Amino acid sequence: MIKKIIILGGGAAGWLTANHLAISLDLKCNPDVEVTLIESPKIPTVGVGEGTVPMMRETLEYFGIRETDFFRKCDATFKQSIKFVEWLDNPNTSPGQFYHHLFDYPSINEFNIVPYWLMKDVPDRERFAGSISPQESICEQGLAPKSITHPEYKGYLEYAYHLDAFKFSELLAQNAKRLGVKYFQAEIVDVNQAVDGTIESISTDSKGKALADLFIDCSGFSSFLLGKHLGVKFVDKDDVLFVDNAIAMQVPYLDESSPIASNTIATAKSAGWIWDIGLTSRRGVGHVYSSNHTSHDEAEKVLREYVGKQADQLSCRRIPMRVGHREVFWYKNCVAIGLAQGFVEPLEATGLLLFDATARMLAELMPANKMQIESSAKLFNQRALRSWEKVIDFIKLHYFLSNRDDSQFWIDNRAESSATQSLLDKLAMWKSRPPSTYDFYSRFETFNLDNYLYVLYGMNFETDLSDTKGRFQKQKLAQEIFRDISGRGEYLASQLEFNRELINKIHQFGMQKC
Amino acid sequence: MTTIVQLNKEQHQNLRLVEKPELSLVQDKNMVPVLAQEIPQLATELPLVFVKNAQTGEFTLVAMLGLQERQNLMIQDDKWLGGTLPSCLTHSPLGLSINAADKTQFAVTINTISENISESEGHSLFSEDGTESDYLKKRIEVLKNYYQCGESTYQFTKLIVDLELLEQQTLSYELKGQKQSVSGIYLVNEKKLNDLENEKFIELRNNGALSAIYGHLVSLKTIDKLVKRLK
Repeated sequence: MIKKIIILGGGAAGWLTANHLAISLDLKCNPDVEVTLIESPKIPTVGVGEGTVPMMRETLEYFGIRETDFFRKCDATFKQSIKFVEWLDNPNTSPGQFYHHLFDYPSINEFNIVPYWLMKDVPDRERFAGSISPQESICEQGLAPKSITHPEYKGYLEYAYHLDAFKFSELLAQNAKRLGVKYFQAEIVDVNQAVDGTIESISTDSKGKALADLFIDCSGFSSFLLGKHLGVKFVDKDDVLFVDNAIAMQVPYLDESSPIASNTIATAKSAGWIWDIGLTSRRGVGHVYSSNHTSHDEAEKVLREYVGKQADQLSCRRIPMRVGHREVFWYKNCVAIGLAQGFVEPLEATGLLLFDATARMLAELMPANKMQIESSAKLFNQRALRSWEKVIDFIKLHYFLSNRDDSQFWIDNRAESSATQSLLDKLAMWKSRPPSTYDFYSRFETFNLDNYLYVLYGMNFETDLSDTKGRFQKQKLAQEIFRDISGRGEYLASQLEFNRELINKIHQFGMQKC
Repeated sequence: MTTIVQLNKEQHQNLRLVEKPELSLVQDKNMVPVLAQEIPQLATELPLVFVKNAQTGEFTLVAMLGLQERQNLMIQDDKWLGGTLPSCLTHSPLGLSINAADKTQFAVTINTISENISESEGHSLFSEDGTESDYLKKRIEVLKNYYQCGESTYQFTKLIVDLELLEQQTLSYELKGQKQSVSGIYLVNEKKLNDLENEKFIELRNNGALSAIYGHLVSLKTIDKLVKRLK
């Protein structure tokens, strides 16, 4: 029987895992299993990763956390999209061009309007996202996705959150403890392994030896158990994704009524890109870049220019990053979750997403006894590897489809030799037919049909329908649907408040459960 | 421009009030807020339901006066057609403005365009020496009492919300043989009420909430009375 589980590391990954295990093992009532999270008092958490995707809503509700409490305690705001600025064309010829990757997925199952958008004449074609969903215009107006009368976790439109990663970890910690997870702080001084490599215990400086049947490594970039002690190799992906450093800065709002953006803003630069995430009291801004294509000093200058005059009084910190993942994520009786598994640039908010998805998978696949560990590990590794590969493909897509050639970074990124074969294969098919749900045969692919549609057609990818246009004769119906969508946008705009207004109300009155 | 101002003897020394409900203010409203304390009297006349305040999302106890937006079936020719008048309709033009930080601090307000204001008829608000008249003092006591009952109604509602007894439901009725319904309202779910742990149930009974909840449930039948007024 798996009786004792130790989670090493108290960042967002550790506490997400703790919550998932607490619920699926029913720790509060289950006398047979004990889960303990051990945190080093000296190692700071990375604490960036402030963006989420809509799955986080489901997760928080599943954890039994009130959405009201989450907003109040984590400086949280609504995120409805990622707005990609200047990714498509050189900024000197078309400054400010953008597209949205929205969270509101159009219902294209009954009637697929995508081909009808593709058949419109390119010059007077509206932006893809704005044509198939009202959410683009809601984002551009800075409006919230819901009203104060909506129950918690519900809204007119799909949404996720921006959050303060430190405060979020604290909230998750409180909740996990409520659900029966044990916790203590100690330095790890040794890892004690059996002859076959299995971890038997870890020795701590102040709390003695901690024994467990399963160890979960949430130690962050150091990958303390899986990487360092079990020697699982790291697979670099720097031949596909080039960014390897981030410089982050916290920018306070000029006054407390400053508007809060409805989306993440990701602005492409000549050797990387800048994230801009609005929380309630400040923005988190950072430049992710390739140190092979620019210097650290130049990268900091680019960030300071982006922030403007306000940056003069602000300090920043640099975080080196290694893009890639471990060869396996579960080896012997040790499972890595979080940065200990691997890392890709935060372009699509995949950090917290992958922590959450793999933590849930671990909780669901938790073996009954030690004999079952190997088979659970095999399945977990297959699934998690697939998630990583698909995430890397999807991130690469954003660079590969660009028309930019204003720096070596972009030229290198667009080289076919830098793309994965799986991505090239898909793009080849989509040249003559739009993506289908059958291109994505498992929901574990993390990014599916809708996500690809927004990025492909946001970046003006050409799907040539000249051989198949006879299949799409329902022009009249399609025009009606386009009109309905734009009408819905106008209706929603008349109903919705600005983000800041709604968030203030949530702080003051709370949201109702029903 | 707001017409509701703080009552003061400098400006309002000579004002008199006619005491009657000012029904014109609500003749196109299909609901008015009511107090938990009013449930026993009103439950036999009007459907008492919960709605969300559009500005705050908080639940409010209301009496339904109509079956659709802007429809008020309880007022005709400036007359109240029912037996008991909801107390919120009895205060105009006076009101209380409570200090949010210190709820014992308040100011009396007056709606200066109210048809109940007169310079010749009714009760004086101030004596000739500028002090509050006995009549005004009495009205302020009534307002203070109304405000206190409002606070306990808020607590009563909060209790029901915290126990997760409310549920969005529709209220159906028949009109000319057709089934119709009112939506956007919240009612106590009887099954959830019956499934409460004994301890919670007894708590509801002891603080008087239980009889109010049953009053609310019984009142739902009175929708048929509203439908009849429609015919």
